[in-house]
Amino acid sequence: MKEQMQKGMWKRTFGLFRNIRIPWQLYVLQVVLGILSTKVALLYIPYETDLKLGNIEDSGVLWGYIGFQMLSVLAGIAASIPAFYSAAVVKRNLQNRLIGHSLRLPLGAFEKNGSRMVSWITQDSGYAEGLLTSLVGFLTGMASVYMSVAAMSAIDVAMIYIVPFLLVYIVFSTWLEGKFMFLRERRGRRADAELTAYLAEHLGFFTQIRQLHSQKEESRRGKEAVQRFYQAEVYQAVLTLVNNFISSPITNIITILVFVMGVPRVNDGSITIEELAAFQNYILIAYGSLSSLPGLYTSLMYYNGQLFYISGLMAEKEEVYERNRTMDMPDADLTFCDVTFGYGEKPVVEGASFTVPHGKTTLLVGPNGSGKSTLFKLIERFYTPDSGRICFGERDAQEIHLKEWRQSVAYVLQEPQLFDGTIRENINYGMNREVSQEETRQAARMACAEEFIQELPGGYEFEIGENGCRLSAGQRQRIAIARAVMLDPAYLLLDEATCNLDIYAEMLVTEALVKLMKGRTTLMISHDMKMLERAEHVVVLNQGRVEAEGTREEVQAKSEILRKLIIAG
Amino acid sequence: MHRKKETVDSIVLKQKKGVWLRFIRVFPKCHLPWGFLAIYIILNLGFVNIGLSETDYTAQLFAGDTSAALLTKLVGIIILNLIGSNLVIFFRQITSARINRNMRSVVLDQVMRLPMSFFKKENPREAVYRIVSNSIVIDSTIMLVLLPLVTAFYKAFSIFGRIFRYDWRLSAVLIAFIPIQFFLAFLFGRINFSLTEREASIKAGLTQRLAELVTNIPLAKAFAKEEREAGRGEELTERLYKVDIKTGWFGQFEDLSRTAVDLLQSAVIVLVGVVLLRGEMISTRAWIAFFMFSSLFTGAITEFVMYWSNVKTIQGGADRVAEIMDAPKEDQAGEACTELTGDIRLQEVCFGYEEEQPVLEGVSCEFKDHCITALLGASGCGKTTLMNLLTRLYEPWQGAITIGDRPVSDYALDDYREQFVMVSQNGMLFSGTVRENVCYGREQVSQEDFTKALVQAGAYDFVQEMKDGADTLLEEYGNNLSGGQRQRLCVARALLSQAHYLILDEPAASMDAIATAELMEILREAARGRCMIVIAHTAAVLAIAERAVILEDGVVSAQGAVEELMGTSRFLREFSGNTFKDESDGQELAVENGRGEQR
Repeated sequence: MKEQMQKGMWKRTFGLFRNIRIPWQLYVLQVVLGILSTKVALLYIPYETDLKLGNIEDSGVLWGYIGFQMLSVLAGIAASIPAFYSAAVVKRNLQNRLIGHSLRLPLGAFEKNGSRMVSWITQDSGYAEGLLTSLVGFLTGMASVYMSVAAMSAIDVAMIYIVPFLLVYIVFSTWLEGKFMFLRERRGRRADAELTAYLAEHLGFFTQIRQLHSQKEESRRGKEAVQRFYQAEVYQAVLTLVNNFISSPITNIITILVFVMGVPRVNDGSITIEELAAFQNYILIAYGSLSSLPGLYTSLMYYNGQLFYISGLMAEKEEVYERNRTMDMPDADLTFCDVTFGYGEKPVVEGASFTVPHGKTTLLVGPNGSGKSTLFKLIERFYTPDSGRICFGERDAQEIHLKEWRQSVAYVLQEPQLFDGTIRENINYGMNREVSQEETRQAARMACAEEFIQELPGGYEFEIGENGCRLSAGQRQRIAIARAVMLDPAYLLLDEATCNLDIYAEMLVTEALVKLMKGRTTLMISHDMKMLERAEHVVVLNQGRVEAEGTREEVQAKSEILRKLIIAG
Repeated sequence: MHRKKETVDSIVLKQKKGVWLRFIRVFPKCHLPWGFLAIYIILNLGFVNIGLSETDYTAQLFAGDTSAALLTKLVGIIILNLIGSNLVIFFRQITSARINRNMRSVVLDQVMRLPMSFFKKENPREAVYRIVSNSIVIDSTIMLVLLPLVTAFYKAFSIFGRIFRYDWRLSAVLIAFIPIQFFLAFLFGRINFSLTEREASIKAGLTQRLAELVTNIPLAKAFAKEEREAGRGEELTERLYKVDIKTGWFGQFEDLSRTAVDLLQSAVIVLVGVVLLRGEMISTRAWIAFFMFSSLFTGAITEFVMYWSNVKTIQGGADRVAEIMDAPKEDQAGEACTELTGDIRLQEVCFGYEEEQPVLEGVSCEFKDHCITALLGASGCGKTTLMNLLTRLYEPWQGAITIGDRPVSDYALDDYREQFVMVSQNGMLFSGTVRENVCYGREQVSQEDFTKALVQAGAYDFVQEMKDGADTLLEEYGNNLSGGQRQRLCVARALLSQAHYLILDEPAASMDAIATAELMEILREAARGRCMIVIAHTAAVLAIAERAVILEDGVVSAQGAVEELMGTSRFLREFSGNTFKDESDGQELAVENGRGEQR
């Protein structure tokens, strides 16, 4: 069972590469150049040994030393050029694929992961390449072990037995290091998360800590978190110490073994001291390569962990954009037939049936948490009902091409979403064609936004900042309305479009909305009971169910919750 | 162009000097673990010499001494060195952990006591978070700059001493190399730094834009703009790709330049060695030792340069920590007060968060004791700011605030704040049980008082219905509660305090009409015998308020009993006409607070 999961995990991780172009030729080049640079390094050793032992009377040694050293540097650099090229190519291709994929994912995937997706796409995508690089490293490592062992056996076959011993020890210590690393990281991550969570959560209420005069308590709690973090660090240091005693001394052990085994052989004349020195150099090269071999497994596991989230993201199903029908039917009513939907197990909307009559203004009312905004998301088809149907005239909305459907619906939210750019770009955002300056102006005028836009430095070219932070809430909302005006949608969804505004801003926005709503099928959510007078049709929602539907007088007679809301207001 | 860059550099340099001076002054305040540091330094320096002896013995071996005695010594010293280097690492980690722990605690204490005005433009949430994470900068300075510099220097010096023992001419060669090496290392370091720095900032900008694109995906979907966004994404990734390639080439250049220096150096050393050996001025053994030591020596010099360049990376953090530790704490001097009562009066109070941008321009008003006063006004008019002055989070630029005819600045700050309790718009709830949250900031709360507070705040029933009652764990920020429930817990917490003055900032934010009406009744009860101020920009509060203060454009436009004002204030009439609104002005209030904690 566990094995199967592991298998699935690998499949998922490598699935990342399935749909992206990989520059294989660059990787082949890396292997070839990698082998070449090891070869050069091996050829250079006799010269270095001569220097080390003082045999420098022969000037050939000197020039050979300098020449080969230069050559090995150049070979190393040559090998790393395809490496950074391939890394950049794979990252770019993967990022493009991830962005394209994310854009086509259902909104649910986004609401679930939201802000984390940003770091997955911008940061984690860079790790994917490491998986391929570690394979390259494995191949060059193998070749280099082979070459250095060959060079060593040319010196002394008897001492070559150090190599298998070394291999066993490396495997053992790598395994041990993995274990220690796991223990260390687990404790470390936990303490880190705890401290970060404390800081993020508590210090976030900085002003309120003052107001509740709890500085002393916060100092104490903070110090406790800091102390726990310290204890985790000490624990980690002890583990590192133990681990280092076992796995870090390999080079020292090699040196000791070479000297202890080699010196008697020098004394009995089987090898010369030059050969012993050369042997030590070769074996250190061999060690470097050998240790990268079991490292393949560790690094595969490492990258598997790093890529866990983006491979999961990639595995999520995209929305189906192409459906059976186009949207070219005449305007019709939008009908909910017994629709049930929930984000988790608990349904948010239960058996909702009601009509949004075309060409009219429909008001959706109900207390907080009654499922109003969820209904909007269902209309936008960001989610599919668990059961029941949403119909456009006679047809199930699911049959209509998704893109056309969304283009015919405009959505004005309580918190308008704007992007960092100019006012013009934001107003024209939904359009698929070139838009004239006059059209943009027209839309702004309709949204009662022209006046303030003209007063801004640069007018329509004013940069509004991230999510429109350089504008006031009322101004942002009017830009969002101008954007909706521009689209000239058949359907308009207004989700508490005026509720974040003070009364002056609200008056302006309401005026803009009234113009926009005229003659358009509008469904609006509002807490403002004055809107009852504007609505031609009212739907009352309570705890996910439709409590009443009809004209204002009809629902007022039927719905208790509505009467309560009116009185309370 | 070139000259311009130079001036910029010199400015940076000048600033840096100030930073470091300030930073050094911070050191005595951080409770450094001197004992551990001393042990670490001694171990570190001690093992430098043992490492060098290993090289010495190896040189003897290669010079042809293959005796068993030398071999034993060599093996022994390798093992000793191994143990030593691991112990050094261990002590380093422990010392670092202690420095960081002490530093974090000190900074945390300091931050808790900083006056709000310290944060100027920044959102304190981010500022504080960054400061506390930055406090590791002390450790970085000691462990990545100061001590390595000392060690590298000591190492270079010891190696030099050993070489000198073999032959003075060899050491002269090395000395001659030091300035060249420094020059080259700084030159290449400088070039690389400016190249990679520029690319890094371009890259950060592009990554930021890519992040924004991903954040805006829901918007793109709602407007069916998937293709357009994918296209923009490809444009950005292509540009990022180009930056990556460029950085890659710079890296190659760096490698090449560094090895060129190394090569040049070893070539010269070997040449000199050949001359000396051929002239039989030195022995083979001296040459072997010299050859081995010379690479160690140049390594030590390179290290020296490298550690020095670490200075740059920690400079920003150092600056911030120094600023924090240097900042004066809130002044606690003043008269003790245990029970403050009386009317609150403000006279001609002026205040702004930034110079020349007053938020309040001469506010005069009165909040009567034993009375509920509504503080009304459009979003962004300074209501919350006014309350921040009243609770002395900030000092007014001008004007007087008095309670019962005495200026509030007479009282000791902590005592004074104890007299107030404020319920903010987004009340502070954290992960922990309901009880911990409600009793937060109080030392001992009896079960009786706790229950009473819950009942009074209208929270008792829903708390009882929760899984574990008052011991139910709340999620981060109380996310598993509704807005109304969160607000009631905060009111309960406020009621537990015996403070006489109760301030509520937009208490009905994000509640529907029914919940708002219920909350108002709760507040009416809670206000008995106290002085309550309710900040609002909606009319629901008028159901319970006896008096109102109306703030418009930074001044009080009207104040008095609610019934009277209904007749005289146009604002209030319009305001109450807007009876059905019940949501808060999230964004704008954040701007008003400048520092409001919006999640």
